[in-house]
Amino acid sequence: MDYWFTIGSLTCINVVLAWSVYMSFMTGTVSLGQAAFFAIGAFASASFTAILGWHIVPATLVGALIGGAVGVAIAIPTLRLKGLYLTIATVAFVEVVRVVTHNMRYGHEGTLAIEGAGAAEIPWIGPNGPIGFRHITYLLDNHITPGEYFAALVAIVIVFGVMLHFLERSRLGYALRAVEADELAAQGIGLSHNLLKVVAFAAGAAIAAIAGSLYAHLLTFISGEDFGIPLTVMMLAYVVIGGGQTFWGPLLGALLFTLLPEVARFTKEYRLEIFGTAMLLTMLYRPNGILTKKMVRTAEARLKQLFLPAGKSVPES
Amino acid sequence: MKLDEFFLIDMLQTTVDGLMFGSVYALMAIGYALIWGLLRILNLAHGQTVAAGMFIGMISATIFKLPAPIAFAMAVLAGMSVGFVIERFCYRPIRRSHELVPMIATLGFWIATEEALQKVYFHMYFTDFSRFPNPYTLWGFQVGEIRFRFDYMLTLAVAAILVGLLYFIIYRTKLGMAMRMVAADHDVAHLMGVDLFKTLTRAFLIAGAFGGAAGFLLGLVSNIANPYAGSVATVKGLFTMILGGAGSLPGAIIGGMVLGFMELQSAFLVSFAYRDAVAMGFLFLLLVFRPQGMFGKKIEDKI
Repeated sequence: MDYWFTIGSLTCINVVLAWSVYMSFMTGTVSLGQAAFFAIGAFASASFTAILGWHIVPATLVGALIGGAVGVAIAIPTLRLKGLYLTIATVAFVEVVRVVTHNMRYGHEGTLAIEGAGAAEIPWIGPNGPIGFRHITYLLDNHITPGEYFAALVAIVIVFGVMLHFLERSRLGYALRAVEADELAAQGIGLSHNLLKVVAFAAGAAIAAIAGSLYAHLLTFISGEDFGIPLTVMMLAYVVIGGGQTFWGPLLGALLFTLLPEVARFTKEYRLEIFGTAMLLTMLYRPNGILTKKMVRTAEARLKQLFLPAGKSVPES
Repeated sequence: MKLDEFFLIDMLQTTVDGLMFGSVYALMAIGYALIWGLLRILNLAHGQTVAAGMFIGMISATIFKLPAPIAFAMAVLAGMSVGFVIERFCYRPIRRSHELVPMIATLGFWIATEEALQKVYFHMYFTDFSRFPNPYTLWGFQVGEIRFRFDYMLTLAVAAILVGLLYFIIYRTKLGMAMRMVAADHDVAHLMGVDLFKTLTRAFLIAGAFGGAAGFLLGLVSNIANPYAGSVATVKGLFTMILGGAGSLPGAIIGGMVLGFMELQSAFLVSFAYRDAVAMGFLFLLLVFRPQGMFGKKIEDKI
């Protein structure tokens, strides 16, 4: 059962990551830098809990703040670029963060392990160069079981989902979508498109950092090598495959593509070939993503109909 | 580290080697830049042409015992066929959709083919890497204190010939004119009677040929063929292109040289572990000040 809780937790983290890409996607900014913010959040908050002994909640929030601040710093120079030129500029940042986290070393020596496989070996608490950041034992120390952690992650996903649901219907959401549709026109009706883009990018960075914190504490071991180009492209793939028009699309994409390799485990060694081919086929047959805005709106209207008194109907939008 | 005459000689030697080795990166990046310039898509499967070139080159040289030039031709052919498959599956059916869609399709292709290649590879060999025969290991000549390795020279020469050929194709042939038109505007080129599909197929074939050549030369100079070459090439080629400026051919060439120079130089001056960090840090700083890369055009939307 713990195995499935861990898979479920990873799925929740991937959903949050997909939404972090979706945040800046709403303004038409395609970021491939999310893995960097993911790494920053993971290393920052793991340092706070493991080295400084903080509680996980402030550690995650401060990690998110750091991620968001770095996001602003990255957004301001790179948002001068348009379209995919911006996308490839953000990729470089991922590589910088990956190499730095792969080589940095700080922290202190831990206490001796008295029993178990690592007995009489002094652990290093903190990132230890290419060996990675081991011994993030917060969950173990505080007796949080995988089931409880999974429940907490599901709650976080629901909170983010509700927030996105209302964001899409708010003035801010419409403003973000207006920037996506046409920057000049958005500027013309008095929207500060640069500010909106920076805000959306920083929010995405902060969300990715939160996911990083959750990831680090789940796995208890992180290494700079985990946060490379393949991961960052995969996050974007969740959004593009699920559908980038509503927040349900990234949710579906992340669910599908985290669970699919697990469910397809019976195919064992050909798992990744099937995965790659499925990705290719989805793009060939549903280039707008699996879920389009129209499908979501129709489904919502049908749902509303169920809860209305008989005889009344919701006008189709 | 002592600052003496040996230090200076070593540094000069590293510089020469870096510039020559960089020509491999340049070859990788040219394939990217070509596709980006024509289609504005990121061909993440481009590394697979490099992997195919390296793998086929190694097989022809070891199992079939073909001489190096013929093995090179086989590698180029392998790269071209992978390029052709990429065009048919990942680009042509979805060319009308959002620019990200072909990119994700090529990502799927990348994952699937890399896994398949690893399966084949580990079926044939039992080690992580296998020897890529290099008949020119001991060849070379000395100018003063600087040694010119023959395989590096060969790489540079082959790269120079291929680049010359590419420039000839682009600026002196009908195909090149069609390609330049397609790069400027697909639809107008189509209206002017350019056979869009034929041109794009040929562009992918050329990009694949460059990838295959880069794969063979990379295997030759590093003396190693491994099944992970595709991913490494995807990342390195992408960075070379970004460094030079997206879609710019001179940018790809100079970017490759700069990357090769910086990698070897930082491995020599700082440490091997920070080899990538120095190069990437430079790239990032460059992007902060010149987001369009060294040779890229300034991108502004016109009204």
